[in-house]
Amino acid sequence: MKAERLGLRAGDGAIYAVLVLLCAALFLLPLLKSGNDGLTAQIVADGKTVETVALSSLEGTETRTVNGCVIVLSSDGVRVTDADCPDRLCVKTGKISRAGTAIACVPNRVVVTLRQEKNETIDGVAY
Amino acid sequence: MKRKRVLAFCAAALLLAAAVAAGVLWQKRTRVYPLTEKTSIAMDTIVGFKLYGAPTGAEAEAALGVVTSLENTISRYKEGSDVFVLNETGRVESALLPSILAQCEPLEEQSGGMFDLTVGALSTLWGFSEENAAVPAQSDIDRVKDSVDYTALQISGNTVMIGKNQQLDLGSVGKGLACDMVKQYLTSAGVKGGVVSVGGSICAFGKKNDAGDAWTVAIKHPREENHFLGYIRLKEGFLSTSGDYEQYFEQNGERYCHLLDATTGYPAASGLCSVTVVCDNGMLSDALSTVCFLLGEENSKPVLESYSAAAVFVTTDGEISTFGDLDFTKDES
Repeated sequence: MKAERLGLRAGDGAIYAVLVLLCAALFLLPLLKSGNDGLTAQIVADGKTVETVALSSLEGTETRTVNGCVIVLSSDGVRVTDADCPDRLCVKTGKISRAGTAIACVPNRVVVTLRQEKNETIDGVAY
Repeated sequence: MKRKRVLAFCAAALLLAAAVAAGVLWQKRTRVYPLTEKTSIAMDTIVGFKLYGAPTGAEAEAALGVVTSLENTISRYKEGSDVFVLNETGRVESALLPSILAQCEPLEEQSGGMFDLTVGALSTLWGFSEENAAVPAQSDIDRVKDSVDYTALQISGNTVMIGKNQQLDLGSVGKGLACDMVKQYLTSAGVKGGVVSVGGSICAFGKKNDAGDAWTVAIKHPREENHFLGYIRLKEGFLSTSGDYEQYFEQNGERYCHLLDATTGYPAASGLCSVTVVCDNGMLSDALSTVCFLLGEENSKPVLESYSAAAVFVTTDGEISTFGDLDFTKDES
């Protein structure tokens, strides 16, 4: 009865449904963009990024040797297992697995930082 | 009937147009400026730049140059630096040192001499960065402690003179000062906003998007390497953290950290393991975090008040408390 009062015909409902879906999409799109793309390890040596590794893509462990630091990467984190620096603070740091945490080897000028490219909520870390 | 149908379509079209407008406004509100990031090592620590709306993309590299240039001026280990020359010869002409020393003197006074920038010889004696660091002999501590006295510094124009056997050490203010200088450079270069971290000192300035969302800064947990203590949200400002986890050694089950009380010659014994200070000046935030660490929580409060600063205290028992106007959230994960 109501539809008749508005002069609607069969099939108009589908057009309105499309319009409503379009409206909803406009509001939801910005939210859908903020997905969690997983952790990446950024390896920096002498101020230059030498490699960025997506940890979620790793099966088992992978090892890189950068400026004398042996960096072991796995899906659940990163650690420096050996280094030819005098203080070996980078080795003592142990495994890191959270976005924003980092391992630094100051003498060898190496920094490994864990990042979460999408949906990153931390702007800086006071170490 | 036909007219009603046209009206219904018009209403639906208007609704869609409103939704489009709202969607566009939403996107515009959260439009994030282009991001430039850089990580490196300077001043013996991690230096990070997260810059939004940098006009050329080269600003982060140039900002790193500002930090290394400052390091080459104030590091006591860099041959030829102002501090190196002062410590070697007892005198230096410097465009920077007189201003640093003048700004820190009130804090040295307020701390009752616990915080003292002439602590260099005492730091060397303790040797925290050395592999086999150990508690020095009491006679050595007493002898070297006597040379620590900020009131013996003489400043006349750009000339600074230091007392006999004294060693200036700006390790407790340098990283915060670097934040001040980098912010000055980045804003003059037209960068819209960003977060700069130099070890435990952070500067947050400007905006990352049109909405001007607050910045979130994580504070390292003093005891758990892979965890954060919590998060501070701020629109603009500086923060610095001092903790007993930065440089330390253990002997007979006791932890000895690099934050030395110049009145005793020993590491601070204030019952704190981490202090984070937030204020509107980088160098002062850095100096204040050390001062508060030395003074302990209660004695710090009048000092913090006098600088309109806020703080997060963590005791060696793991108790966390805040002071002043601060948006701090403890990490619960």
